[in-house]
Amino acid sequence: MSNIVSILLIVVSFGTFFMYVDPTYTEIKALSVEKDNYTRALDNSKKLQEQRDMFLQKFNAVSAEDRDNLLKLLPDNIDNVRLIIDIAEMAKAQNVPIGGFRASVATANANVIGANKSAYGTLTLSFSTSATYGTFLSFMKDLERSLRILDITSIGFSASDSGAYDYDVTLKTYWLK
Amino acid sequence: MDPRFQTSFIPKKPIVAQVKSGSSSPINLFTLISTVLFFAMIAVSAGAFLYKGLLVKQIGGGKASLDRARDAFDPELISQIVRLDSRINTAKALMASHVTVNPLFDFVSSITLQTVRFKNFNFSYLAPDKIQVSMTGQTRSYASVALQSDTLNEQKSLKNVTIGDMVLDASGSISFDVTAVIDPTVLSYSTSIAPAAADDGSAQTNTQTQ
Repeated sequence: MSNIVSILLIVVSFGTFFMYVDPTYTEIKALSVEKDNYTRALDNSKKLQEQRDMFLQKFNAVSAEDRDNLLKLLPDNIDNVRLIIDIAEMAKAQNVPIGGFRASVATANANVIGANKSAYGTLTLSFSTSATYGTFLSFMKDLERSLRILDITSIGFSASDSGAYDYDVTLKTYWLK
Repeated sequence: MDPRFQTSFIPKKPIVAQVKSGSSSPINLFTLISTVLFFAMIAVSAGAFLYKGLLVKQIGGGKASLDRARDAFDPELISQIVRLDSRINTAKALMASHVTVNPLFDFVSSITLQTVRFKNFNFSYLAPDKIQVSMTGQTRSYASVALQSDTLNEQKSLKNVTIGDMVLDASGSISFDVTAVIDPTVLSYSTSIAPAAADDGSAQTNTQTQ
């Protein structure tokens, strides 16, 4: 009788081990890894929070006006229509007739294999105008004072006896992708 | 007399009850081991159950903390900060290579002789290190062309100065072509305009504070 009970206890013990303890141990190992991951993630989040606070402090140090100016300097999109209007207004202020606007977006460099990872896009804008040399220089100064980055890449003109020259201007401007 | 009748006084059986130890001992050890094993298994099972529960609770707490931390991050604000950082860095890079043409006109005016005039002017920004200017000049004498050539060649800001296509027309004027590559620093916004603007700004500030 005693032997039967003992055998029964051993069977129950082994059964418990294989049916509950062993699978639970496997689960515990997986849960421990998950817990460690959460602990690590929380540690990282604390470090990130410190960095975020630091960046937030710097972000808040930039005034809304400066942020607005930066947006004009390097807009979020091509916005070539706004640019043409701005240039036409500058020309009007100098009493310079302007026209023949041609805009083209620079495509990725054909000599480079792979995706174009440049942070900004480039728009090339050409136009023609006619003015005296002095007026044209004033117009160029106005263009350079523009908040939007305008890199003049080409200027061509010929003198005439009337004093008004015809100018072909090409410039590049940029936007943040 | 019965021959089976025992007359001996020596007892056949021991007087003190004999303690059983030989045959029953293995059974007790087996029982003991099985009992210990059973209770140990119950203890291990309980421990595993409790520890698993503790881990699940800790993971739940960790997940909740992480969710709170994620919400506190405000992804939209982070996106704005990253965008502003990208904008500032890109603008800095673009401003470093930004060119301004007005100093070029001043420069050309300063190196043009009074006896020479330029009829055509072409400026091409081909690459940061290749900014080319080509002009067609007009003068009354070859000596002026030679003097203009010397003046142009003396300029450290001009490289590869080439003067050619000299043509004497019917009116006695001499036309000539000039091509040259300009030192990018002449047209660099960061070296020409920005310091001047900064000086103006500080001068204005000083005036305001006085």
